[in-house]
Amino acid sequence: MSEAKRMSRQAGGRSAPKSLGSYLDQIRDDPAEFRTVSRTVNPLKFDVTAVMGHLDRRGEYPTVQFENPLNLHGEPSKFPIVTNVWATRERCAEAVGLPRSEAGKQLGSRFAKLVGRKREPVVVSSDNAPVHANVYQGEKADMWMLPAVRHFEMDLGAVLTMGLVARAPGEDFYNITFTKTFPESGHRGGFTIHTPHMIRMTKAWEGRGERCPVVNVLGHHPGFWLGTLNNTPWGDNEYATAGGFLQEPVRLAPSVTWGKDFLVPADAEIVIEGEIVPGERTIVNPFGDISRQYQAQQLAPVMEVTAITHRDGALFQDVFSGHRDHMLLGSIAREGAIFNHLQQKLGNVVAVHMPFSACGRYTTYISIRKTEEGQAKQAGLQAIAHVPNLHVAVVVDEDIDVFNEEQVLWAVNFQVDPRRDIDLIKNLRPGSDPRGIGSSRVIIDATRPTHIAFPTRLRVPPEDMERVRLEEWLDPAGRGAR
Amino acid sequence: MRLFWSTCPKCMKAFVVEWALRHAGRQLICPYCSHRYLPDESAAIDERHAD
Repeated sequence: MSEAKRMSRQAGGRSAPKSLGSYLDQIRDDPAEFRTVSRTVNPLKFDVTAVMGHLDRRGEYPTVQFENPLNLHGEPSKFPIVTNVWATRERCAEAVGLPRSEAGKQLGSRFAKLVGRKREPVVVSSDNAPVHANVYQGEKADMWMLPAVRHFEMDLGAVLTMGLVARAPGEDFYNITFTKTFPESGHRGGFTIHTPHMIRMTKAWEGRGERCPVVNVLGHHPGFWLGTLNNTPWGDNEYATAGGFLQEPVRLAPSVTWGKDFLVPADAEIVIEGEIVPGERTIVNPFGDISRQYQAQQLAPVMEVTAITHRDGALFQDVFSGHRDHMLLGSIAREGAIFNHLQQKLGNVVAVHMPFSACGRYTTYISIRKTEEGQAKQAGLQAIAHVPNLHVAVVVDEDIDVFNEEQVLWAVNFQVDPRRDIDLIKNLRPGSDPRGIGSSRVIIDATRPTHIAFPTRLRVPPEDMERVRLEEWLDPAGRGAR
Repeated sequence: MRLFWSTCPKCMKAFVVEWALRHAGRQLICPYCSHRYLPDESAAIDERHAD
């Protein structure tokens, strides 16, 4: 038995290093967190997303493992589908080493700290890489062996929703970003990318007329992925950032296609190695995306597959697009990024939240410790300038809980004079946002005005709230019933 | 970003397309029936947009 196979099997017992499987072992005994579907499902016929849609309507957000999916050939797949991994803040907290009780504002702060705690990756041999336990090249490297999911009715087809790894020519750092790959055949597919660094890298290769090596990673520990979502500067090695979030170095192995010139995550579930063909474009989309709308059909770059590798017993990971799994995946990183940025620029931020009502991307609620007028607008401007595609920034006082939307909207209703406190920022470029909303942004100062006489919020005196303990004063349930 | 809606001439269902494809000479692919056709062959096109 090869070392890779032994480690892959050992990972079945789920000792270190961290992987998607080792993470699932932590939650699989709790039915609120983990459920399975054993019957055969056809992910092309919406079986998977119908199950997930029902759970979402019921307000239940377990990670779900579909044990027996069909692949894109319509045959039984050997890879179970795992989806909804990030659908609760509590699971995201655990994935980065926080207790579930600290899934609120502490989680964004944790992200802000972890971004700076990089851990350099370690390189292991292919024999020590579980992801190389099974290697397919040439005609056998067939993306259609995967149980890729078609999510929504207008989607063009099945989509691989996980992350792509790339490197700029001549550089030694890696960028990792979530992308969508549409496997139009077993060996090639169009893909869309939406982050500036990855776009810059792929354009650099294309400008040289050279094929760009890329790796599609279909499954890893959730902490690995959460580490890839941060707005890090050009030049940062995101394998190192991911290691900080994983709290152990990411293990890398030489790729099958390019050897030591391009390293792949050794503990991933499935890896597709491929090359972007310079100058070639194909049709992709529509696709139901984060905004719960469809991205429009468009032309996109083409990747040709060179190899597919996977660990023994590999899981195929999917993101339940446009739902909490997808929203939290990016929103917590943005909360951390805004918190960090505002603390560095202004120093008065208390908490930051990206609410589900704006899909975790388009609105931020920021609470500040305000000492003078103008600070709220400054905070809103800084946030909008720092985070792409942020449409609305609502800034409140520190006594408003930004994780309680009812409190935030109370402040908007009763502390905002629209003429004075709402600013429209016009004619910004929409960046890579593929939606049709436009290029304007809004800042709402919902802090209590301090430069004019203004009412305060009602409250029972805090000392009396402390004095009257409900469990001592309230009669036992049932007493008083007629 | 400007968009348009194309109605597939084969299955008569509509889907959303980036404006860059409106006159690019590339065939669209209907997500419902996989029919390939040029935008001008659409059964209907909605290309209204804000100024």
